[in-house]
Amino acid sequence: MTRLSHTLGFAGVDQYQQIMVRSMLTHAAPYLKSEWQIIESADGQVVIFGTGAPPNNQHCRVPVQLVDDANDRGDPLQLPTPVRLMRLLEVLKHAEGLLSGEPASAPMFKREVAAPATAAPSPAPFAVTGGQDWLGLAQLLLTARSNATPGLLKLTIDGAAPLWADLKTGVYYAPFSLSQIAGPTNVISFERMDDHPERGSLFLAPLKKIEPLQWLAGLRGTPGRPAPWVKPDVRFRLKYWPNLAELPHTVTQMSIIARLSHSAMTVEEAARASKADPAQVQNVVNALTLVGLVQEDATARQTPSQSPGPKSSVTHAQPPAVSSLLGRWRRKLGF
Amino acid sequence: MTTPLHRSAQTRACCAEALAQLESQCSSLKLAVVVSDDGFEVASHGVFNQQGNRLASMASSMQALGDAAAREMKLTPCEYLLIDTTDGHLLQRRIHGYPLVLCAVFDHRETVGRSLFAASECAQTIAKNMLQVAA
Amino acid sequence: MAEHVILIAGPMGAGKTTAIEALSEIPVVSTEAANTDRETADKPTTTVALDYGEITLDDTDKIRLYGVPGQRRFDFMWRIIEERALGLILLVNNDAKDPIGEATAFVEHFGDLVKRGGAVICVTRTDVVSEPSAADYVDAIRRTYPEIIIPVFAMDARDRDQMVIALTALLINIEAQSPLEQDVA
Repeated sequence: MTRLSHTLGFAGVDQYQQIMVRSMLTHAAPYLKSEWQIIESADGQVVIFGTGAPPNNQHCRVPVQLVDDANDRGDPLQLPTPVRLMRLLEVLKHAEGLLSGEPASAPMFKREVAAPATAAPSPAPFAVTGGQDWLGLAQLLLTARSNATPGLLKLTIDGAAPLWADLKTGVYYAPFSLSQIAGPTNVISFERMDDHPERGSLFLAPLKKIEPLQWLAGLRGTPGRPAPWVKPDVRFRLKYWPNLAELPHTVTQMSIIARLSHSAMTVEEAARASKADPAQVQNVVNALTLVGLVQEDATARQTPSQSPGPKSSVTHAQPPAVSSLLGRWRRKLGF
Repeated sequence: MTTPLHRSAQTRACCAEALAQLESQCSSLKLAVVVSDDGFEVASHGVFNQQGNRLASMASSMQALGDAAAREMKLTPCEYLLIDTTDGHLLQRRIHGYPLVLCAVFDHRETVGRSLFAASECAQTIAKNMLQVAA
Repeated sequence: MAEHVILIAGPMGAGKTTAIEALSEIPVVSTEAANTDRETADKPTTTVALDYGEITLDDTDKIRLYGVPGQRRFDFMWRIIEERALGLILLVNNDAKDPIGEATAFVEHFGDLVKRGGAVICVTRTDVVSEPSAADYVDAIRRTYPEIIIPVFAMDARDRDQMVIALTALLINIEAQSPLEQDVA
């Protein structure tokens, strides 16, 4: 019986990195479905060989058939530097997906085994494929979230080096931190594309989950107004907190999220509870909805006549009482 | 990897022998446990069921708190701890040279001075036994 | 002087001492002992009583950070601190054998504190093992406490900024527990 297998060739690898990769394969083994070995580590190149056989299964080691071997060796990948276990693990897991015949996720490296033309999924229609505003970007991300078809997003903010996102797997690489994106007046331009010649090397860079980008686009898409994907006068309840360690946020936004985590609220109700401006609350709801972290509370749909009615923005904008523990903590941190 | 003290048969034997000696000298001894610094029971005398494990954990915590308090006061590490009640007293004594602590409970018939002396003797015996085994 | 106690708990090796060192403004009072249980966590020392750190808020108040040992045999220390605590920061290392099981066990143990105060879960070592995800933790805890949505963050316990985010989220969550009527009134 022959077994499909895969080789991954990494070029430009020094002796230290070869040792690192060998060590990493040992550590990665418990998290992989099949056995991976270094079969060649000549000068400047490492070839990792996946048998497709279960780990430590002596009987499944020999009869294998190499797939795309020549191409892999002829056009090797770049090992992410510094060498990271998680990155290597992602690459190997992706390759395992190909080995087991599972639908290919977005390629994490340069080449993948070509699927038959008939099996290729037809790309979902993207209403927005490019633009220069946060709303357009938000709509593109929303479409990508609901129709995870392969595609790349190139985003430029204030003329800096571009951010690249893989729309299907929901990861991005940026040579800057999104927390540095200050103020709503950034000049952006974005473009969706099916592929890019540098795709492979781009996605061997350290990747992050796309939530912070969705959050940012959601916050800025329609400032102070319900986004097109958000129903007005509906109560929202948080399903999951966003990972605040990774996305730019303010303490007021945290307060709003906390209130929505305790009970379903309309924008007005959340504004009163968190003592925040309703416009800020609306922005947060827009963002949370885009990331997919809130749900509408169907049992508590509210008509405008039932609404407690807006208070003045002066009342909403009042900072928390300094006597409270949180107030003093905020004051200490300078929030 | 070296065997942890609480799993070492030799260490356990050294400690058990010293505890038996302590019991023979002090009729007021209710129970005694030798514990590792990280809260495992090494040897015990007069304890039932899980009482020894529980006491081992608590003794370890108390010893560490004593050391922390001494450190804060710029003092040398805590030598012994005493918890005195109307029913008796609990005494902890560090065993020099080893990450071990003797924890002994005496009833109300014993004076603190005498139980402290007996506990110190016992701790020294354990240290001496351990040295002989190592040699 | 008011006492605002924050309990920092979690399994052995999750980074509790490190988190307190990152947050505390004073040298941390620690009670480390040589760790003989290297199978559970391969580190030279382990906390056997508590770690203590402080953050001064103003002339009268301090936030007191108490870390408790991760091993269940020290759960008497858990109870001592829990009674005085305002909220819980639970650290769980994602590379543990059963991180979800560990997290839910701790949340259940500190159920009263979670309900009366608040809790934040900081998942560490996500750079080593990326799964389970934050959502997996939330879903598991929701099975026990359907009404509670605990913030779960992937954190580096060494990073003060990240730990400040966790503490801020906890304090905000505690404040948000107060009835809406009081806030609206």
